[in-house]
Amino acid sequence: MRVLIVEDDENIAQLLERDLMGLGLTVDKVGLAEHAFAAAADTDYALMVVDLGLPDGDGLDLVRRIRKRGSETPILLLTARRRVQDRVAGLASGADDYLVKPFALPELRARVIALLRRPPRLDRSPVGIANIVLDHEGLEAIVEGVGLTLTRKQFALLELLVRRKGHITPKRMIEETLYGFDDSVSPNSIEAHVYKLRLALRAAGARAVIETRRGIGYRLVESPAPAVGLRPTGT
Amino acid sequence: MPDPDDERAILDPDGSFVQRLAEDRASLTRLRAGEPWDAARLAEIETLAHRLAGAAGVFGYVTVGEAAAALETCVEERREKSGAARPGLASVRAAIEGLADALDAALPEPSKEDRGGRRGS
Repeated sequence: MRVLIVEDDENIAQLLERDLMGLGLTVDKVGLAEHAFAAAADTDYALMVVDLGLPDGDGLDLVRRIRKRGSETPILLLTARRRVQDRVAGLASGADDYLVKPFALPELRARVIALLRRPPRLDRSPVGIANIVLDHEGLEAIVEGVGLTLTRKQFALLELLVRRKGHITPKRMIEETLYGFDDSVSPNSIEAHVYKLRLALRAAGARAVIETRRGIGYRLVESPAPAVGLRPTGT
Repeated sequence: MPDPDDERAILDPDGSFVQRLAEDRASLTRLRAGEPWDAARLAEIETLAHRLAGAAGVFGYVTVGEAAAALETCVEERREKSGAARPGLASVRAAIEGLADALDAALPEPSKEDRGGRRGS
């Protein structure tokens, strides 16, 4: 997933870039509102992190212009403006969330992940890979036209991997997607979820496999040839 | 509780933010010297304080961030308020001193020596 950081404070921008790249995100950063407006027109970002005080204009105007153009990209505002009316104005402009500087990185990370987890508001085009299509309403994967019922965590895991298909998804990102702050995560819980999801996909005849990159994470790729499933596939 | 120095080293591995703090400290020395205390000078002080108030806390320099926020508020109120509620220049100078002290406490010794002393400059 690709994220745009709009921040003229180079120290903050670099820190955000490092941190979000650690989540496995691809990060672009610009320091001017006009550059951000142009970048948002050219690229379908999964998220934009926008500082309000930009040298060539107010971040609120930038958000309004982006929304006016019809973009539904989630936007997280950053600002050192602490007053309630500033926060209200920020959200009223069309931003999805608002974080006051100084912020703690874990909080920023949590808000970014929460925004990335939101299903697109208008884009209801199917999400999938190979012969798998995700049904968000039914919380199931449709494999070759047949519904595959998954647990909520398995579905969230598959959705994350499908959205990042072809790219390695770090284990930490999976943990932060599947679990909240207060959840206890056992050492091998992610491996267990991946193992069960693999079994389910294989049994359903999915033509995509979850590769393991030891010590890094996982990657969902199309199978070079139809996987041999436990379910008969017309033979 | 994590060691603040460890946290800062993780957040600022190449020391670029410490370098910025030293530059801001030098700017404060320039901004508080001489006359006049006109709108342009106060605007420059407010901008410096605003940016530092937002960034310092993110990099683990909480005291610097708080002192910068106090200076920003003081200059902002001097600009926006009138009568008895309007802070005087003495208040602005005191807030600048507060930020300078916070920066001095945060900066490593060589940076302080490079400045050749602060008081009375």
